[in-house]
Amino acid sequence: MRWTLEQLAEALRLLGSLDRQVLSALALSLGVATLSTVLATAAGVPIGIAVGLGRFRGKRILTTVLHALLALPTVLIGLVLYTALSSRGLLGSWRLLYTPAAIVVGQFVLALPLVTALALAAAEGVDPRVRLTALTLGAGRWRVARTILAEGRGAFLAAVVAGFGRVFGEVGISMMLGGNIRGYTRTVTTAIALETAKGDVPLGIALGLVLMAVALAVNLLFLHLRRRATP
Amino acid sequence: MTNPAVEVRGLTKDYGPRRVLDVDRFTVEAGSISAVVGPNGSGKTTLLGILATLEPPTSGEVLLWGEPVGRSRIADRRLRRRVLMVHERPWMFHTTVLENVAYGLAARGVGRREAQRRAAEALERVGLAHAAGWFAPALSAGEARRTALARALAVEPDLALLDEPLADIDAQHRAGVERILRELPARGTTVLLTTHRLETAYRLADRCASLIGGSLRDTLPDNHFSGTIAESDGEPVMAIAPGCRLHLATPLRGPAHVVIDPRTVILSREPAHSSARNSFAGRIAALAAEGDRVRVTVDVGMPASPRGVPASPRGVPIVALITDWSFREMNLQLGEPVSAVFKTVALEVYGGKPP
Repeated sequence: MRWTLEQLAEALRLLGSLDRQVLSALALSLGVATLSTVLATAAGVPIGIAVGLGRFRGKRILTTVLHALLALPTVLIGLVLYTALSSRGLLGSWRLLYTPAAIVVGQFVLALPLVTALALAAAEGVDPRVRLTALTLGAGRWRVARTILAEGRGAFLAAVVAGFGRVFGEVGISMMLGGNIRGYTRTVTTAIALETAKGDVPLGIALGLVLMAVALAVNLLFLHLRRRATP
Repeated sequence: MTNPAVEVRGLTKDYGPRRVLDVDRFTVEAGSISAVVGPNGSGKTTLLGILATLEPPTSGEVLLWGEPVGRSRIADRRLRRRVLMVHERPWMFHTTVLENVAYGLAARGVGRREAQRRAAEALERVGLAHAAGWFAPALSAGEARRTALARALAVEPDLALLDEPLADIDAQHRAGVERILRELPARGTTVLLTTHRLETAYRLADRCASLIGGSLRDTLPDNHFSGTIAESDGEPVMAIAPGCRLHLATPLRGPAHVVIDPRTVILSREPAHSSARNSFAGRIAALAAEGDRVRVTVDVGMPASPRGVPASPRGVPIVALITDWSFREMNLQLGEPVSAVFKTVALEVYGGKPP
């Protein structure tokens, strides 16, 4: 018990002194998670709306595949992309492995099915009258999609936040594709894993507290936005 | 019948195994107000949705101003810009009332300032100028409907398809909305509206059709009589056939429509000696089973003329809907003489004017 308290006290001291390692890991974590979420949103929301509103053959199979992809383990994504990005791999010439960009690519692959599936559900959840009203008022395809996005903004926002939450807390991809290089590709989660394994428990706890605080802040922000979106 | 805005041929619509619409022929003249009368669930909304090109028919052809719908996406889009449907429970976008009304204009590329000016004008017409800045989804049902009407007026469509335009409109605004609808043809908008109230149809429409169970008839429902309410011995009557006068209970006079609910018509073997003021002798012209009811058509008003020749080959049909049970008990036969009897208060009178 006394040991645990000591570690915690040390962790708080580290936080209080704004340790450079903590800050650099946090900045990278936020950076790659934000970028990959933005990319996954840019791709996933339009796909989700198109599939959600479309009536075509194979829609159910597509939806099923999408849901199966939600269960994709991060380690597997890491492994597949590692083989593709390593110097002898298919995309080896891009020289992405062990760079922050590699983490972004991996997190994008991780977030895309989730954002798409939730956006699809959001689009299907929008009252069918929205589409019909927009159409009869003369809206073209783009304006119809925009209107659906606006009317279901709460649910679409939830899709984005869920995507961010998923990538911000993952370890496997960051570890395998980023390589946990100090000051370069070390994120909050990979740092926790490393420092704890090394025995620097206070730093691990400090990073864990940061991780939790950011996750909480994002969710609070989301709740606030959602409340404003659906008065 | 020279310039139809809408022409429908052999139109059907199935939802799964259920056929919800089966319309052989239907036209709407450009510059007219037409009404489709039918009970809830009779397929009125589906019909409007198909005409608005929002929903494809299962089979059949729809022509708008002579141009077939569903030929190409681009052509449909162009047609859709000329047609506007207002739903029975219109959706209000989650923004202000003014933005809602301006939506159609923005979709047509009208500049923001001009769109807002025209939207404000349309709101003024429906008496909602004061609500321009309100949050549209918070409107009452009647206000939402008037906003939806303004949303349609703003874009001045060539064809307005209005689903139950007067439902939910409170008495205070009813006359105003009716006036707006009546003025639409003069502003270049053909109107097709649906209603479950005959009264609305008669008051507003140049032409009425009835939609029952998905099938459209260019005629009105059973037992619909048009004529002139006159006075006879101080009592209002309407002649529907030679020697056949309906006794009415109404202060109204002049051209009017009368509808008798077939369920209120009693059949009697003998001329009735009852409190019912209306009793017409005739012959059974048709029998049809409808579930556990029987639809009995009695031709009345064809008394032998002095020379023994019927005044007309067929009289005026009065339809009675009776239970299977009483049909069997009375043992009614085709061609048999019976009397159709109904109470004066069972007659619904539309149109007419106070004397």
